[in-house]
Amino acid sequence: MPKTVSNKLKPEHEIVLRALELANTTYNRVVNHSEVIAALSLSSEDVRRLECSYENNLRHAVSKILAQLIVRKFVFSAGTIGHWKYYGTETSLAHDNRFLPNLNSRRGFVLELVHRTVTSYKRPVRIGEILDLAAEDPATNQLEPKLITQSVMSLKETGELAVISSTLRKDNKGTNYYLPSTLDPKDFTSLQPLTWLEQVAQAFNELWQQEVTAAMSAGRRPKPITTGAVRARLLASPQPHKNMKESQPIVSAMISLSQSRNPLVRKIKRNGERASLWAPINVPNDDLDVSDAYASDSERVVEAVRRATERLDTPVSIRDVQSEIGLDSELQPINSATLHSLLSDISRSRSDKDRRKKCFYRVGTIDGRTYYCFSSKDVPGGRFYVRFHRIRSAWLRSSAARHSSTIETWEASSILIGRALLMQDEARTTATRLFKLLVDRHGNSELRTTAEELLATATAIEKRVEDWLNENKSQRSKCPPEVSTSIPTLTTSRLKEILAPLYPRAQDSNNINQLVSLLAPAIRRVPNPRFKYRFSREPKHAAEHLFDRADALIYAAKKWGGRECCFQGMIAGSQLGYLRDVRFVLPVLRASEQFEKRLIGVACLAFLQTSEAADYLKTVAMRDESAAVRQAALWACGFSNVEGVAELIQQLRSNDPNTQVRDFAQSVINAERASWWLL
Amino acid sequence: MDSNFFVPKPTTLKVVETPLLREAINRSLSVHSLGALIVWFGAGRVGKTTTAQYLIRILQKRVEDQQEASFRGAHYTAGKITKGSGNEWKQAIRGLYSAVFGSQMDQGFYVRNTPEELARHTVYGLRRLNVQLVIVDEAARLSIEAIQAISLIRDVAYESGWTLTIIFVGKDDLPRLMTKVEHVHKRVLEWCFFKEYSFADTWDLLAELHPYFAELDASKAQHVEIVQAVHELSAGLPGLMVPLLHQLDYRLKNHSGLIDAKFIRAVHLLTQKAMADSLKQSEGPYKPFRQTQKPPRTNKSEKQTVSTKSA
Repeated sequence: MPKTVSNKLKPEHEIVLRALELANTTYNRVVNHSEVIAALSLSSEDVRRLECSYENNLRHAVSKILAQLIVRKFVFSAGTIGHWKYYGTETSLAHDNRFLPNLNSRRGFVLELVHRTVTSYKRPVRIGEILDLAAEDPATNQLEPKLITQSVMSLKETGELAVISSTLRKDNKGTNYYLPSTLDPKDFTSLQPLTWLEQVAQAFNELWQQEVTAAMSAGRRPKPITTGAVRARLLASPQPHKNMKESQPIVSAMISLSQSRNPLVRKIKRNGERASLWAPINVPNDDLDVSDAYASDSERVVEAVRRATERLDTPVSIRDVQSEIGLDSELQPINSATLHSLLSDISRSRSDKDRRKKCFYRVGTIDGRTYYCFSSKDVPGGRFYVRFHRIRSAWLRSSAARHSSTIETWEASSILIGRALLMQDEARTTATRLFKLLVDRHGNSELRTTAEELLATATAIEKRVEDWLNENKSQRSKCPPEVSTSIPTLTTSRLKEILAPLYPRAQDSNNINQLVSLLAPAIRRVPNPRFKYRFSREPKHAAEHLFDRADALIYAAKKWGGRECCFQGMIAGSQLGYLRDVRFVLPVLRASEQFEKRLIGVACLAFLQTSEAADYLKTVAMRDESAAVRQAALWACGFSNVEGVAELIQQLRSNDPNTQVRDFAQSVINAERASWWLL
Repeated sequence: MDSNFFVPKPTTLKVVETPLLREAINRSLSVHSLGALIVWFGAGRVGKTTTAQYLIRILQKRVEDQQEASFRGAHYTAGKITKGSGNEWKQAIRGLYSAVFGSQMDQGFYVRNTPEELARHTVYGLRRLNVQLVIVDEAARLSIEAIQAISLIRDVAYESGWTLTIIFVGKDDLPRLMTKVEHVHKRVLEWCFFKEYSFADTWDLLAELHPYFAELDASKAQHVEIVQAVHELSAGLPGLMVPLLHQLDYRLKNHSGLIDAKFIRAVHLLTQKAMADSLKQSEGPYKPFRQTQKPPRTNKSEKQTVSTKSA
C-alpha cells in the first residue's frame, strides 16, 4: 500500500498525481492514462507546464510519470485490460473499489456484437449486418463503423472470427460471412440461399440432380439445363425473388456463375443456336446428351415441324404440329406464346447467320389453314401440294362434284339446264386448273397421280353433263347459251341484320366472328372477289369470304320460317342447287309450263331476289292462271320486299277471282317486313 | 345395220277403260269427300297401277279444264320401309313429300322435327298444290308403322279441314297389313279387289288394243281359240296380255303363215323356254373351267396295233 505523500514530489509528478486522483474520483474506479490525460486537460496551465518540462509528448510523459509514481508507491496499478493499464490512488478510491473495472476492449465489444448478430440471424453474418445491429444497439452505437470494421478484420486475423463463406456480390453488406470461432458452423448453417446468385445456383443444382436421376432411370446421358428451366424453377418458388420480374437478371446470374473465379456452371455452345444450355463445370460434353436438348420454344417448334414433315411426307399444318407435340412432351412449348404465333414468327425469320439457321417455310393456305414445309428444297413441292388441295377443296364444294351423280335422271327444265351448265363450267375450270398444275414438274408421284385422277373425274363429269345437255337440246335452245357464275353475297353484318328478328344468337352476338363460326358450316360461303386486306375499313373489302345470299335466305327459311316460307324455301333449295342466274328460272314461269314448274319458278325467284325477278313475280301474282301460283307469287313479292307490294296486295285483295288468294292478301295487308318470314 | 334389228315405232300409251277400271275409280271417288283410306288389291299385272295413273290423269284434266271442285292427285311407288329401320314414321312421310312435291325435304328440317310436324308441313304443301288424292303404289313394301304415318297425314289434313284421300295399292299381304291396326283398319272406307279378266273381258280388251283382234269373230271357233290361247297364256292378266301382243308383233314380221292358237302358244313358249332354261342353269352350282384335262381314253385294240407295229 502506498504511503501518503510525505516525500516531496516534483511539481510535474504532483500535477499528474492530482489528475489521477481527480479521474479516480470522477470515474469512481481505477483509470487508464488516457483518462488521466483527460483529467489533466482540465487545466491548460498544467498541460503547458508538463509539455514544457518534457521533450516527449504529453501522453508519453504522463505514462512515464505514472510508472515512477507506482515505484514510489504513490499510485497503484490494478492491472491491464487489453493494452490499457489502470491506475489508482488509495486516497481517492475505497478499498473495495480498487480492482479493475468490468470493461471490454473495442475488439471485445465487436466480438460480442458479432455474437449477438449471429444469434439474431441464426447464421454467419456479413460486416454490413454487424454494423446494422451496432447502430441499433445503444451500447455500441457510439462506436464508429470504421472501427468496428477494423476490429472485425483484427478478430479475423487473430482467429477469433472465422470466415465461413463469401459472395461475389459486392454491396455495402460486405463479401464475407463471419462466425465466432467458438461457435460450431454446423449449428449456424443457413438452410436458404443467402444471395441472388446462390438462389440461382441452388435452382440449377436441383434441376441438374433431377435430370441426372431421370437420365439414369431412362438409361441415357443427362441433358443440359436451359435458362428457361432455371427461370421456371425460380418462378415456382413460394416467394420469387424480385429479380424474376425481368428476364435479364437470370441470364446475367448464369453468366456470373460461369465466369467467377470458382465457376459453378459452364455454357454449352451449339452451332447456329442462340439460346444457351448449361451444365455443371465438372461434367464434360461427352457425358452430356446435347442432341435433343431444346433451349427455347422456337427450337421445340422447329423440331416438331421437322418430325411432322418427315412422318407425313407432306407440308404440315398447325394440327399436324400439335399432333407431333402430343407424341413427345419434350416438344411442348413452355412459355405463354401460342403455337400459332410461334409458327408464324419462326416461318418469317430468315437468314441472319447469327440467328437460328434451322427454321421452316410457309407454303400457303388451304381453307384458311396455313401449311409449312421444313426444308427449302421442299418449298416448290409444298406449293404444288397447296395449289392442288385448293383446287380439290373448291371442286368438292362445287355443284359438279355434289350434284352431278344423278344428272341422267333429271327431267329437263330451264332451271336444270342452268344447273347443268354451271356444273359443266365448274368441271371445265377445275380441269383447266389441274392441267396447268400438272404442267409444273413438282409434286411427288402419289400427289400427281391423285391430281390426274381428279382431272379425269372432272373431265368425265364435264362429258356426262355435255351428253345430257345434248340429249335435251330442244329445252336448252330456249335458255341462255351461258350461265352466269356471279353470286349475290352478304357480309356477316348484313346477314346479322336479316337474321336478328329470327335467330336469338344473332341478336346477342356482339362478335361478328362468333356468328360466322355458328353459321358458316350451314350456309355456303364464297370467296370475296373484292377482298383487299383483312383490316380494310370497308367491310366489303375486308372480308375474305362472304355468305351466298340465296343460300342464307333458304337456310333461314327452312330453319326459322313459317309454313309458306319453309315450304318455298325447301322447293327453292332443292331445285336451285348453286344456280344463281335468274335467266334460267324465268322460262319456267311461262303459262305454257306445268303448274308445278311455275310454282318452283316462283319459289326460286323469291330467294334469288333480283330486280328482274321482282318484275316477273308481280306479273305472275297478277296474271297466273293458278290461284296457288298467284298466292305463292304474292308471298314471294312480300318476302323479297318488292317495290309496290302494298299496291299489289290491295289489287289482289279486291280483284282476284280466287277466295283463297283474296283471303291471303287480306291477311298480309299490314304485314311488316319481318313477318313475311313467319307466314 | 339398223335393218337387221326390229325397232318398233313409238306408240302412245293407250288405256282401255274396262269395267273393272271404271268400277275401281268410281268407288274410290265416291268416298273421297270423307277423306278416306282406300285399298286396291290384286295380283300383279292385273292393272292396278295403270288404273291409278289413269285416275291421276283424269283429275289433272279436270284441273286444266278448270272444272268446278277440281283437284289434283299424285301417284308414287313406295320404297321399302322395313320394321326397325329407324324412324319409320318420318321415312314414310318424307317419301310421300318428296314424291308429291318433286323436291327433297330438307334434311335439317327432317331431323329436327317430329313426325306430326312433318305431317303438318306436308299437308300444308298438299293444300298449296290443291292435291286431294294421293296413291301409294306397292304399299305392301311399307311397314305397319309407315302406313300409320301416312294415315297420320290424312288425319292432319282432316283436322285442318282439307279433304285428302289416300289409296294404298298393292299385292302380297297388303290386306293383312291394313287390318293389323284398328286405327288404320277403321279408316279404310273402301276396298277394291282387282281380279283377273274373264274370257269376255279379255276379248274386249284385245279388240281395243290390237286391230287384228278387233276383226276377230266370236262366232268362229278358230278365232275363239286364238283369244282363248291369249287368255290362258296371260292368266287373264292384262299386264301380261300386252307384252304378248308385242311379242306377236315381232314374230309376225318374219311370219307369213297362218296365225292361229298354235302360233300364239309357240311365241309364248319361246319366252317361257328361255325362262325355264335360265332357271335351270341358275339352280346348279357354279363350276369353274378346268385348266388341265385328263388325256382321252384309248381303245385296247389300238394299243395292240401300236405294240405290234413297234415289235
